[in-house]
Amino acid sequence: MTAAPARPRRGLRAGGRLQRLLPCWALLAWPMAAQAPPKAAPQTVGSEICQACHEDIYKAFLGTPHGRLEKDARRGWQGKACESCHGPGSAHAESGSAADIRNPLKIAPAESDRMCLGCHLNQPTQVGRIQGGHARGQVACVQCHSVHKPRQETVTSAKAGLVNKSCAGCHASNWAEFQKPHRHRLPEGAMSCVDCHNPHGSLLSRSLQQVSSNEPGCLKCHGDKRGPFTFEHASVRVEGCTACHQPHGSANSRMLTRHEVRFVCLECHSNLPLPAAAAGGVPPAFHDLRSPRFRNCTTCHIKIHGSYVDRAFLR
Amino acid sequence: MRRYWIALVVLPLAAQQEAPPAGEASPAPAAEQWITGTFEAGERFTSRLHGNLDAYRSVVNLGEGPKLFEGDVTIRNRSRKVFDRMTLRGSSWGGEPYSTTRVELEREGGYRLGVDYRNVAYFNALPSFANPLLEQGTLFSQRAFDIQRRMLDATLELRPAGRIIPYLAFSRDWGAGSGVTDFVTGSNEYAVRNDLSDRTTHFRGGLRFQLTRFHLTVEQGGARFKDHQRALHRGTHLGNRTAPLAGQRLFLSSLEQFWGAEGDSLYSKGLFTANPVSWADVYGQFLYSIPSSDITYSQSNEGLFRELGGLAFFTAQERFLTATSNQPHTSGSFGAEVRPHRRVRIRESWITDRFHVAGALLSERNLPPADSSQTTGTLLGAAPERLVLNYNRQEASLLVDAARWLTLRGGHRYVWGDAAFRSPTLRVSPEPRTGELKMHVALAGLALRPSPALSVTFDFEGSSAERNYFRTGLQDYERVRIRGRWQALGSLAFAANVSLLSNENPAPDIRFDFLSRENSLSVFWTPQGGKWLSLTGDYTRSTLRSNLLIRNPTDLGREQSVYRENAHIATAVLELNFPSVRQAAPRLSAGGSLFVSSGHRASEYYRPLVRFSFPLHRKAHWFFEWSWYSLRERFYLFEGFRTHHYLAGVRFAL
Repeated sequence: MTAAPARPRRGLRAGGRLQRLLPCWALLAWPMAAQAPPKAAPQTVGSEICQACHEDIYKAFLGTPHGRLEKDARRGWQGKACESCHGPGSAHAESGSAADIRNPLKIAPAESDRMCLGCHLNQPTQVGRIQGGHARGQVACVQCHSVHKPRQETVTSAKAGLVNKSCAGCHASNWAEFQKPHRHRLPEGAMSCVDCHNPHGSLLSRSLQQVSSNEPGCLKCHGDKRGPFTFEHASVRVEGCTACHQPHGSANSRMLTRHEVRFVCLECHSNLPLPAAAAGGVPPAFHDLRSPRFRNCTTCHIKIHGSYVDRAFLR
Repeated sequence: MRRYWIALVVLPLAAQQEAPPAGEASPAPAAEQWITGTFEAGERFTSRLHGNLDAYRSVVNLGEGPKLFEGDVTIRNRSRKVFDRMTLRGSSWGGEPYSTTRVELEREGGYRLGVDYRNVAYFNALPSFANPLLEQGTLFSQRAFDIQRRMLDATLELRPAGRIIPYLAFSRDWGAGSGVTDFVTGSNEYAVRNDLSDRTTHFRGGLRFQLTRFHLTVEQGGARFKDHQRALHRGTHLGNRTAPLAGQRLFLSSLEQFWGAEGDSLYSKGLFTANPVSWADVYGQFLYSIPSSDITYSQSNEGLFRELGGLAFFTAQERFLTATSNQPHTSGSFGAEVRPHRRVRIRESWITDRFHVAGALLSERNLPPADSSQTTGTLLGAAPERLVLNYNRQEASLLVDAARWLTLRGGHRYVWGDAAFRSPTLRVSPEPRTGELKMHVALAGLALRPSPALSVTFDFEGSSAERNYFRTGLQDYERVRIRGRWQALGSLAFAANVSLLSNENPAPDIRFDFLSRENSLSVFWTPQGGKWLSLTGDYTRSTLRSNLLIRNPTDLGREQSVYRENAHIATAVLELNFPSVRQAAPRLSAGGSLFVSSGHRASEYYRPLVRFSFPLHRKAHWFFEWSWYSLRERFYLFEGFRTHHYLAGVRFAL
């Protein structure tokens, strides 16, 4: 009986294969290495070289806010503004190949963001950055911001149509909600997404804008709902407007979350006894829902967002 | 407003006067025009409206007549004395329901001024909303408003490219108009006319320090606001209760009701960002505001009324109230991103938001007739209402660039807080009601870019909350979002969105089961770079399903609140460019949007649109547009409408 030869361990076997392959790779690579001189690190060449081929882009770029880099010595990119984002261009200038130049649109978002934030991190717009959904979802700055286009053609121009189109490019299902009959007037260009949302991130959920330092951005236009009220409707303050409203669009004429107002109310005001698993008591017994007067809660509770004078929001 | 307009007209003229004579050396390139821009003006005609005019005004509200649809002018001042560049932009002027104007003035290294003005017509009078008389055939909205709202924002930054940037801002939001509201007293409600007027004015100013390693912004601001409302009625009004009560018919013969709320708010803000070392960034903000309100209220009504829950009738009532409230509100956040390795990022953020609202009636005087048992007299120093909220959120996440084409993300979010509500006037619950919020959320995601033509992002969050405030709040939930984009060809791209939110609360008296799903597919087709043809289209299928146990207050029995909404939503635009005529191409655009839903509020809303533009000159186009608006509600047929709009005008470039 002969003993079976011991099987080499997995790692050793792989190592053995590598050892066998290595001479082959070396044989292939050696002549090429011998021919090609060691690749020097690319150097900056200046914007004049860039504009020789990319004249249109260069001219447009000078009209953008970034164009001032070209002549501003303080920022260190005077005469070579193109390379402030695209990196040293000597290799690209020699070869003309797109592979030899950095294109922020095609590199990983983390890498292109790091490049933008190299200058723009220390600005107030970035304060909520890592709390925002775009940073969480790896959306790079250059997916919304165009560096080459004149400001009038970019989202920073605050043109509602441009901003909405840019957002809708990714948030198609959110844009679809604005096609409902009762919605905020975004398709008409009366508002833009950034009127309510801060795409750079915010303290509030859904990256909502803030007004008066830390109040929800809804109050910028709906100032009559600001209060503070003598008698607050707790859910409005605690959960915000979206507790009852669908601000993008709704089938209900007041953009409510349900088709009829009583269901919006009764879905919270159904707890027995107080306090139960959640806030909100049951309306007193005289609210006989068989009568239409009691099926339309806001007929009587007219100041449902909060009242200055009545606990039951009747006036 | 007149002063603003004069300034807008005079400034460009001043710039023209200061421009150097032709031939003189100018820092601007010779080819650059001193004025560029486009205007689009014309007239809209509408066909006879079929259906409900109030519904049309609530949803569309576009009228006939001459309009300035769009104007965009940029003036470059060659002398650079007052400004380098001025941009003036306006849209939808001439009686349109939403008009906007924006002015930007800039002098490089000097200042940047932005002024934004909007004028919005808010109209809403839909008879189906909260109308107790609907079943009797009354198509009169008891909750309607017709308000003109104007918003002005102005921001001035000095030395905007410098390291220390002082800035000042002013904004005003004011609305005025009329509406219909209910006057509620005793056992009846009366729909009456009311006048509304509110105004909020903000001032703020601050300093920004933008240095290489850190940034700091300190800001101080203030707001003043007022909200005045008045309801008036003369004449016999029977209200919503049509049946006699104890043999008597209730009515309102006169009413004068006035609310006056005035208040102010001081607020402070501090923001900072810094990258103290190359592998770490830190962020933080501190925000504080303290709005307060003072209220006066008076009410005088005559008629025949009956106390709610009582037996006594009375014929007149007078009320005078004063009240006050305030809301100190503090918020803060801190975050950091650390990059211990080239491929690894660790993010940590923390947010806190805390406020309380305290409101009290300072005096109350009720003067009911002698035969009533209502309280009469003056009440002073009532215990205040108080709502206290503390909210905190902490999130930690790890992002790993596993490969150049793959980023993985995982994390954890902890949300906790508490709320307390005390209402001495709410007899049901004399003790403060308290609630707690406690939720651990798992976070995960990935970003996949296997090739420059394909990218996919995936986001997931899920939680099983230990405690939450409201029955419909997030409890046991999963939220998933997938977004993908595929550039199939140089001229053809597809994008897809999938989003899903599933939330359940299994508590025996709640049994909440909620599902919202939205799936979208978009196509972008631009053969030859869109030279002759381009097509953009989206289709979205959305489903909303909600089941929740509720109590019917009539008998306190349990019922199921069921809501269903299934919708098909599509938008599309096809653009065709024809061979050039007079150095410009005629263009035809066709498309529009549709929304078709079934379920509890089934409705159909169509907006097809066709636009043809034909060059009259190299810089002028004549255009014609047709659009159709149609709304149809399956259960509220009386709210439907349909109408054709025709637009004709000229678009010219400077």
